[in-house]
Amino acid sequence: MTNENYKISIDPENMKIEIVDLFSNKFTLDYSGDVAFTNFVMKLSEKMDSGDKINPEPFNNTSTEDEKAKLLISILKDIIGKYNEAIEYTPDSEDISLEF
Amino acid sequence: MQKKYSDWMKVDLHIHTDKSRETKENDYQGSFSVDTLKTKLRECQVEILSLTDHNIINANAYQDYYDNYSDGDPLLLLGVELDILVENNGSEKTYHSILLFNISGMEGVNRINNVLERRYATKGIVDKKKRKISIDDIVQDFMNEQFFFIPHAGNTQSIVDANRGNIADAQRMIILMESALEKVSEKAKQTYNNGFNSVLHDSFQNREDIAYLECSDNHNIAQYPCKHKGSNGIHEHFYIKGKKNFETIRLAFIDPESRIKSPKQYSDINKALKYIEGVKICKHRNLKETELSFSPHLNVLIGGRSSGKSLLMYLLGSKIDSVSTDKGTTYDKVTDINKVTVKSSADSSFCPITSISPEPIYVNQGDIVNYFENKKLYDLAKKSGKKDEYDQALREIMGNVDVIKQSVEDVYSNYRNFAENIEEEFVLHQSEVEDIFNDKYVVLINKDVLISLDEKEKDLEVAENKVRELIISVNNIENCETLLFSDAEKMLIGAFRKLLTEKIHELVSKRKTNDKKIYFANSSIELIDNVMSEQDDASVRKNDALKLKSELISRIGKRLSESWKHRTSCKTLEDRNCNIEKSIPLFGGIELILKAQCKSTTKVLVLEGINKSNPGKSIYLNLLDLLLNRKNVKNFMTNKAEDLRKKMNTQLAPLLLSFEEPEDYLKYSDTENSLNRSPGFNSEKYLEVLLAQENHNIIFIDQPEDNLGNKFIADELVNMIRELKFKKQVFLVTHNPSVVVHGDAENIVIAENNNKEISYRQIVLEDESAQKEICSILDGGDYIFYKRSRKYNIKRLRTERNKAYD
Repeated sequence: MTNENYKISIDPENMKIEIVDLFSNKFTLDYSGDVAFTNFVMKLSEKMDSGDKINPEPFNNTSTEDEKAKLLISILKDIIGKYNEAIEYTPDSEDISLEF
Repeated sequence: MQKKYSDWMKVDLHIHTDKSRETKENDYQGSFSVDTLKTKLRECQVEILSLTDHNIINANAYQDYYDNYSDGDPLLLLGVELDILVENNGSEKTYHSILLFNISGMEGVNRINNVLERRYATKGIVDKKKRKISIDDIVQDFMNEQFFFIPHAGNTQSIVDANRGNIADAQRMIILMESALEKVSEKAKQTYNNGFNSVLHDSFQNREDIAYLECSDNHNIAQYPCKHKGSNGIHEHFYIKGKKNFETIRLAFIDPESRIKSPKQYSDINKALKYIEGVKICKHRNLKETELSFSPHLNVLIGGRSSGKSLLMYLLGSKIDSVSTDKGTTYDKVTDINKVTVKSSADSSFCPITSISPEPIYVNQGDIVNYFENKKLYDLAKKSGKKDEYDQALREIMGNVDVIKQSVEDVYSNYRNFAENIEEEFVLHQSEVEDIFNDKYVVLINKDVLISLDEKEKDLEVAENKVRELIISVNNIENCETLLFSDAEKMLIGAFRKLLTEKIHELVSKRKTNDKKIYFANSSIELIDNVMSEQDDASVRKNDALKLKSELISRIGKRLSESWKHRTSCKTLEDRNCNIEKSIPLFGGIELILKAQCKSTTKVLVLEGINKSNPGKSIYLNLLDLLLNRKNVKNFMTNKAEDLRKKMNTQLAPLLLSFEEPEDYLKYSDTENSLNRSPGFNSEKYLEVLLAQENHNIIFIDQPEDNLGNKFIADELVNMIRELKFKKQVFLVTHNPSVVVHGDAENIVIAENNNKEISYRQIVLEDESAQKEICSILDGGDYIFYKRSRKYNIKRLRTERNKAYD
């Protein structure tokens, strides 16, 4: 199991947050209005098949004065934290009994 | 038991004696003796014969035969084989023909012998070997005699060859005379018949009434039944039906189709079928003691009114285990079935009841008309071997009762659901709209993300269960004691089990991962919810308003879905076919139709139960109006679901009844059926179907002619009976002379009621006195006999020929 790194960049002019090195393609979060995290969660669900954890902190500096952007980046990190929790989560599973 | 009906017997009407040597060189092999002749004929069971020397009569042989005649000897009829001269444009040809006289005693033999010898003397023929005679001589000499003309019609000495110059003349002669052709090969018969058709009036064509009769032409009695002198093989006798008399031969030549059988045709008659051989009635009550024997072919029961014809049919039916007679109460007053015994061809003696399988067709008088009047043709389907098809069709139609009932239940249930939520409002208030559009933002996550994960979880579980079941099956198969596996097979099983194990591991792993995803999705949703709860009031209000909007859309979607379901159930009920028809092919294009017919549609019936219903609109739209209280259920005056359900069931009851009791009828064509045709026509078709059935060996019908047109009886029924009677045993109670005479009944049972004493006796058609009796019993019998024997006699022939020469 490896810990993957990623980078977050903020485009205040277009009100977009971009995430690279986490998925095969760059992920963009539009925060010009209400912000939906559904797509981000779905992408991470798919990534869960690899079993790799992700470093909660991005590999670069994400300081910003924009309160909304700050909140959103915080949410993104928290979601990644939940992702890592899920990777370590061990559901109650039945033993495989093949009755041979 | 003694056969009192017309039975088949072998005949040989062309046997030479050594007297033929006097008229033909070397025409006989060995010596002839009457003793040898009798012995040989008895061995071969020949019943009628004729000694037919060439152009001469062996009076001594006839004398010897008649002097030593004893009971059981074959009947000897006088015959002679003549060389008949035909002159054609100056050339002369001869052909051979037997003349067979209605003479079986020496007085007649001597008379004919004298006439013949005198004719040759008159013609100045001294040399017996040069004897020839013309057809005009025959006409002149035997004008007042009753005789048959049996010419050779094959390759040698043939009437056809002699008349090649005017073949139509010869054909006409054969047609006009009471005659049969001999020495015609099977292959040539069809050609001959076609030739006769060409000289016959259209209405007389294709009647198959040219008689062909092959005889041994034996010239060597020591080698009998050899053909000719013995070098041409053994003769196989033809069969004629009747008794040992001349009338039998006359009827055979009039109706060869029914009365002459080649050896092959005779063997084709299905004699192996089990049939009723006889019945014995002990004297009791009004019945006289009687023993009757029955032909395996056509038996007719005739007699005056109340003479006991139908009673006899009832007695026969009640003696067969598989027959259900339903007239017991009527006939029990006049008879005691315990006093009657029966014998089938499989029984060694008379017994109280006999077993016949399959069940005979048994039709009482009036049954056929009743079937149509009561629209119950199940009996016909049963007798036609279509019982299973009928039952299946009935089941399929009756199955619609449950289908309709289920449709009503669906409409009711959907209507009720709809009604329960009719007050539900779909509102998004102004304040909520304003909250949705305030300048705050929300962070959100769509919970649908969970749905796909849950579905995947279910899919994985199903797949895993399937593999686990397969593993159990593999174990069971491997442990089955009756299955033995080779080493190679065991390896295959091992490999398969390994594959299954791997798949289980794979599925378990996928489930674990999916569980993690679900855990992650739930955590993320919770996280977003927590974030939102910590935002300011405006953001929270916006979030709540968005949730309300989402819920509103969801509720509207649910209502539309219910609405669609309701509309679908209404449409299903509305589209139910009320006129369901099942067709069962019977015979010759005739179909038995089972039809559930309701005059109204489900829509009309349902809407008739609703006040102010609009027939121009669907059931669904009318029920929406009902839901909205714009209409109400008739009588109940409410729009309650339960009342609607009761009303729909009441309204649809006639439709359900039509499915429960469909009507049946016969379909003859696209436009004709038993509902629009006369009882007579229907009876004809019913009989056609009945008689065409091959899955019964015995048929009983009491007065099939009832309600039938004379044309059908003459043209159709009689022909059907003639064909049928050689395939199965037939018993008919009848008043119709056509059925008896043209049907050529092998056995005629006359029922008589003299001072309330009922008796039965048997006669046959070839008994001339019986013919008169039939005429006296059956209306129109005289005419039928006349019509049947309307093959012109030799006087007519001469007149026709003279006209032709004029």
